[in-house]
Amino acid sequence: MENQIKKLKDEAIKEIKQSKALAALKKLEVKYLGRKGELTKVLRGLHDLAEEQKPKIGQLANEVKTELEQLIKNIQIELEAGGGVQTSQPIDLTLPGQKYPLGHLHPLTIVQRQLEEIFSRMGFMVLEGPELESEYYNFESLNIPASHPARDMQDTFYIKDQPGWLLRTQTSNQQVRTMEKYGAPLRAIFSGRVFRREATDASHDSAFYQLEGLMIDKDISIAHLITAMKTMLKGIFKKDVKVRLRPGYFSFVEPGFEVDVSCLLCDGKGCGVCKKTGWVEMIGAGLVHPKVLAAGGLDPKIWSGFAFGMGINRLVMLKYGIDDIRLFMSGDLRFLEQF
Amino acid sequence: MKISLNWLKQYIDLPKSLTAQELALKLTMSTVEVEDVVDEKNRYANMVVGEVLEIVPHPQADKLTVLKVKAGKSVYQVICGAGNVYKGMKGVLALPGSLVKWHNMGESVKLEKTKIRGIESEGMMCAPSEIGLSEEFQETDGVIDLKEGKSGQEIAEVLGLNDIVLEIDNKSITNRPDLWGHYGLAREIAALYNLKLKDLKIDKIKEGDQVNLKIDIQDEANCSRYMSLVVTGIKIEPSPVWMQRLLQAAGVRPINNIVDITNFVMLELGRPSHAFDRRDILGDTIIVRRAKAGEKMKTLDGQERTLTDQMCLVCDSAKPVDLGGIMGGANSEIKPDTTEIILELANFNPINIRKTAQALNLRTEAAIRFEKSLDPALAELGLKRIVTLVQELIPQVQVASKIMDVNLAKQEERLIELNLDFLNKRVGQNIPKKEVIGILGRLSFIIKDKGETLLVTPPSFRVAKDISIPEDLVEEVARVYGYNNIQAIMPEAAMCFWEENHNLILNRKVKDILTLGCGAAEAYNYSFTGLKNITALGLPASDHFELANYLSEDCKYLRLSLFENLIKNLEDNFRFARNFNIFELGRVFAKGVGEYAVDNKQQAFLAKQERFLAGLAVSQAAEPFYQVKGLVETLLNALEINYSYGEQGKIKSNCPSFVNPERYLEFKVGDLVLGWVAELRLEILNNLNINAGVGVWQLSFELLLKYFQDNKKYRSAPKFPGMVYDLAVAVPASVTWAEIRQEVLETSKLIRRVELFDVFKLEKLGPNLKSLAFHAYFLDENKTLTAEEADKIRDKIINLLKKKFKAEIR
Repeated sequence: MENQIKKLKDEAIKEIKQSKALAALKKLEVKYLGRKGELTKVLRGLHDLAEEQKPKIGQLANEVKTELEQLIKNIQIELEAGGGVQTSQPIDLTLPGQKYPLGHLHPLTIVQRQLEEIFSRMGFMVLEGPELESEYYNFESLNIPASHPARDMQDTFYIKDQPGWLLRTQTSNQQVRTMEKYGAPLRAIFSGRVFRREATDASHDSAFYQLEGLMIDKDISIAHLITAMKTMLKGIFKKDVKVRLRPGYFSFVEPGFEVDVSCLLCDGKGCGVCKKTGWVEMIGAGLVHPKVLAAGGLDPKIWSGFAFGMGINRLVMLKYGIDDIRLFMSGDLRFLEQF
Repeated sequence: MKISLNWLKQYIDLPKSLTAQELALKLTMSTVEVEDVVDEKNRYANMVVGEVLEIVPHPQADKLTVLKVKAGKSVYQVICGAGNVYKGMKGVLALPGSLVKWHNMGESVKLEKTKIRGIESEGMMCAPSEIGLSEEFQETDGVIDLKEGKSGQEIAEVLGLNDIVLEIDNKSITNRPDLWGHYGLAREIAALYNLKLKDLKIDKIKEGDQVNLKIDIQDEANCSRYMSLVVTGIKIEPSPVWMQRLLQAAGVRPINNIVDITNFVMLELGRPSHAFDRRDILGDTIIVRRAKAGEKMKTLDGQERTLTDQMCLVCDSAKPVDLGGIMGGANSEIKPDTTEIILELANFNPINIRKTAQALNLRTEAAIRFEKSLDPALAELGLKRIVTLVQELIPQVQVASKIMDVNLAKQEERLIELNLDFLNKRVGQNIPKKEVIGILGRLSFIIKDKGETLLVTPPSFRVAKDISIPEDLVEEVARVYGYNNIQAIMPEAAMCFWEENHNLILNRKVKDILTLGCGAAEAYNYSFTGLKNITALGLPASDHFELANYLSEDCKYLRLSLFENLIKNLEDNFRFARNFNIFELGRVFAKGVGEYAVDNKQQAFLAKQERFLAGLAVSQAAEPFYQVKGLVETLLNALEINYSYGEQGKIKSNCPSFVNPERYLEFKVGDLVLGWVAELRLEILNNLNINAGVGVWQLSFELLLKYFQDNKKYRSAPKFPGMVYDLAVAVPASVTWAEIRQEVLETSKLIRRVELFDVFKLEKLGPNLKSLAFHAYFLDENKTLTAEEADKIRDKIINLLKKKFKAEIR
C-alpha cells in the first residue's frame, strides 16, 4: 500500500510537471485528485486496511494529496501568467523598466521649501505678501525717505497713473505689515518675488526672489543675529560654513551688516565666483531700526529685533551650477525638466 | 573709489609689518568693503619700454603691421593694428605673462605668444585702456606714445608706479561722506589701529582788498553756503610730479597745477571745489540762481546742456558759468594763460544734485560727493587747504580779495545719550566702559562720562545723515571692537504656537499633486507682459495696469492672466517638444480694490493681486481637453473639494476670449466658479504655428484656499462580494456621458459606481452614433449578490437606456 502511494505520487508529479496547458493540467487534477481520481481511490481503500496501519497510510496519503494540490496550483499560476512569473523562460533584464512620469518643481520652489523648512524648525512663521506695493511699505516705513536714491525711477518700477504704487523692490516690504498684523514678540520669514528696474544679463534680472526674516523680542542683540545667521547657513549648506559679518549699510537697520560665506567652490582660496576674495556676499542683515519698529506700532524702548534678507536665485545657481539667472523665468522645459 | 597707499602715508605712519592686504581686510571688517588691492608693480610686470625699429605691412591683413620692437638688448616681432605707430616711437611693450584687457572688456587676461594671420607676435604694443592707463594717456586711435623712458626699462618705473591702490566699493560708503577722501580714510585707519593722525598743513590766509567780490545766493533751497576768494599772480604749469603720481594712482588725470589742486583737495578731504578764470567772471559777481526751463549752457566737457527749472546755476552778472556742484562751464575754465582765479567752495542741496546729475547723465566725482550731504564746515577747511597748496606750488601768488562767505546753513549740534547697559544689551556682550570711551574718542567723538551713561557729541563730519541716535553709536563701538570678537548666542525666546498656515499647506499640496501626481512641470514667468502676448490671446490691453517706467515693450503691462506669459512658453517649447504639461502659480493684477492697505491708516487699498493656478498641456496621445480635465479633477479630488460642473453643452458667452467656447467647462462650488478647463482657439494656434490641440486650465488659488479640506473618513471594506458588469451601448452623438451615467446610477441602489472605459465613433452603424463602454459596479451591503439579481438590474439598465436614449446594446 505504502509503495503504491509513493509510486502514484512520483507518476503524478512527473505528469503534472510536464503539462503545458491549463486544460491538460485540469485533466491531471481530475485524474489524480478528482472524485474518481487515483489518489481518491487509494484513500477510499483505507477502511480495508488493518486498524494499526490506518493512521500511518492515511497520513501519507493526505500528505501526498496536499503536495499534489500545491504543485498543481503553482503550475496553474505559471500557466495563467503566460510565463510572467518565475518560469524558466529567460527575459532581457536590460530592457528599460516601465516609466512613471514625475513632474518637475521649479528649482526656486525646491530651495524656497528647504529654506522655509529650516526656519520653521526655528519657530518662524512663513508668510507672504503683495508684489504690487505702496511707497509707504516698500520705502517710507523702512526709513527710506523720499529723497533716497533707491526711490528713483532708475531702480524701481512705478505704476502709471497710480501715484505711490510700485512693484516691491525687496521682501522687506513685509516687515511693517507683519508687525502691524502680529505685534511682538514675533518670528517670521517672508519669501517671494521682487523687482528691480535694471538691464538684464546672465547675473541680473528685473524679477528675482528674496527671503527676508524678522525676529522681534526683548533685548535682541548682535550676538543673537550672528547665531541666527550661522545657524541658517549651516541649515542651507548642511555643514558648518565659515561666516563673517562686516559693516553694511541699509536704511532700515542699525547697525547693519553684510554677511559673507566662505566660498564653497574654491573653499575660500579665491576663484571667479568669489571674485578672488574667498568670500561670497550672501545676506544683508542688521538690528531693526527704531524708526521701523515705531512704524510697525512697537515701542523701541521695549522691543528690539533683527532682520535679514537674501537673494534666493544666486543660492539656487550655486547649488545646481546654473550659469544664467534669466533661465529661471524662461519657462524653457529643457531647463525645468532637469529638476 | 581708488585709495592710494602712498597718499594715506602722508597722514599716518602705518606699522611697518602691516601689509596692504591686512589693511584691506581690517577696513572691510570694520568700515568699508575693499574690493581689490592692486600693486602697481605687479600690475605692470612684464611690461617694458619698447622702441619701434621697423614697420612693415602685414602680408595677410590690410589693417595690421609687423613691427620690430627693441627692448633693451632684445628685439621682438610684434603685430600691431594701431595707426599712430612711427619709427623711433617708444611705447608700452607687453611681453608674454602681462595682464591685458582685450578691447577694454571684462577681466584682464594673461598675454601669450600667438600667431596673428599666420605671423607670430611675441608681444603687444598697448593702448591706454588695455592696461588701465586711460586716465594717464589719451585714448586716441592708437597705442601709447610714452615720449620718455629708456628702451627695455620697466613701465612701472618709468611711470613712477610704485603705489598700492585699494579699490573701495562706493556702495559701502553711501552713508559716510567723510570717507570720500584720503584724509578721512586715514582718520578711520588711525582709529582702528590707534595711530596718530597728522594735522593737515594749513596756512593762514592773508586777505587782500584789491578785488571787490560779490556773492548773491538767490536759490537758497539749493545752495546753503558759498565761500569764495580771488587769487592773483597765478602761473599755469604742470603740477609737481608727486602730486601727479598721487592723482594718477587715485585714477585722476593730471591737467595743470590749479585744476590738479582742486582735484587733489577733493580726493584728500572729499570736498569738491571749482576755480574760475577771473577774466570770464563779469563784474566779479557770483549769483546762484535757479535755471530757466530750456536754458542752455556748455559744460567743461564741451557738451551743451539743456537745463530744467529744477536745476541750480552759478552765474556771473550776465551768464551761467558753472553747473553748481556738478561741472564748471566751458566759458570760464582755467586756460594756459590764466593768471587770476576765483575759487568756489559751495554747499549744494544733495537731493537736487543727484536729480540734476541723473537728468543730465553727468554723475561727476563732485556730484557723487555732494549728493552724500557734505559737512558745511568743510567749505572753510577746503578753501584754506586749496590756498595753502596754491601758495606752496606758486609762491608768488596773492589773495586779492576778502574771504567771502555767505552761509545760510545751520551747523547742527548733536548730543547723544548713550546708556552703557543699552549698548551692552544691543551688542549682546559687555564691552568695558574704558574701551567704549577709547573707541569713540579715536573716532573723534567728544565724550562726557556721566557714570551709567555717556554724553556723546559726534564730530561735525559725521553729523549729516550719519550719526544721530544711540543705535548709531552701538554700531561705531561694535564694529571697531570687532564683530568677530562678539560671542554668538542663541536668543532665548518664549515658546509659541503659530496658527496653522493654510496658505503654505495648500501651496505645497497643489504643487506636489501637479508634479508628482500629474507629471506637470512648474514654470515661473515674469509678472509683466507685452502687448504682443495680450493681443495674441485676443485680450484688450486697456484693463491692464501699465508700468510708468517699463524697460521694454514686452514688459510694459502687469499681467492680468497667467496665460499672457504661458502662451509664450507654449510657443517657445513647441519648437522642440510635442508632449508637455506645464503650470504656474502666481499673482495677476486687476483693477479693483484688493486686500492690502496702502498705508497704516488702513483707508485706501492697493489693487487686487489674486493668486491663480493655470496650466496648459500638449499631447500627441491624449485629447487635450480630457487631459487637462483629468488633471483638474485629480487636483480637486485630492483637495477634497466638493465641486460641480458648470452648465454643459451650451456655448458660453462668458468664457475667456482665447478658448474654444464649445470646449469650455467650468468647475464650481455652489455658484462660485473655481476655475475652468478648455482648449485654445484654433485661430490662436494657427497664429502661433502650432499644429496640435492645446488644453488649458485655470483655478483660483484664493478659492481653493477657502474650500480645500482635510476631512477624509474611513469606510470599512464591504463584507460581501460585489460584481462588475461591462456594458457597451451605441447612442446618438448628442447624448452625453453624464446623462447616461446619471441614468445608470439611478437605476438601482445596488449600483455603487459607473466608470467609462472606452468611447469611439461608430461609422458602421450610422454617421451620428458613438459607442460608450463602461463598468457598472454592483454591491449589496447586506448579503452576497446573486447572479440572478445582478442580471435583473443589468436588464433594467439596458431597457432604460434604450427607451431614454435610443441606445443599442452591443
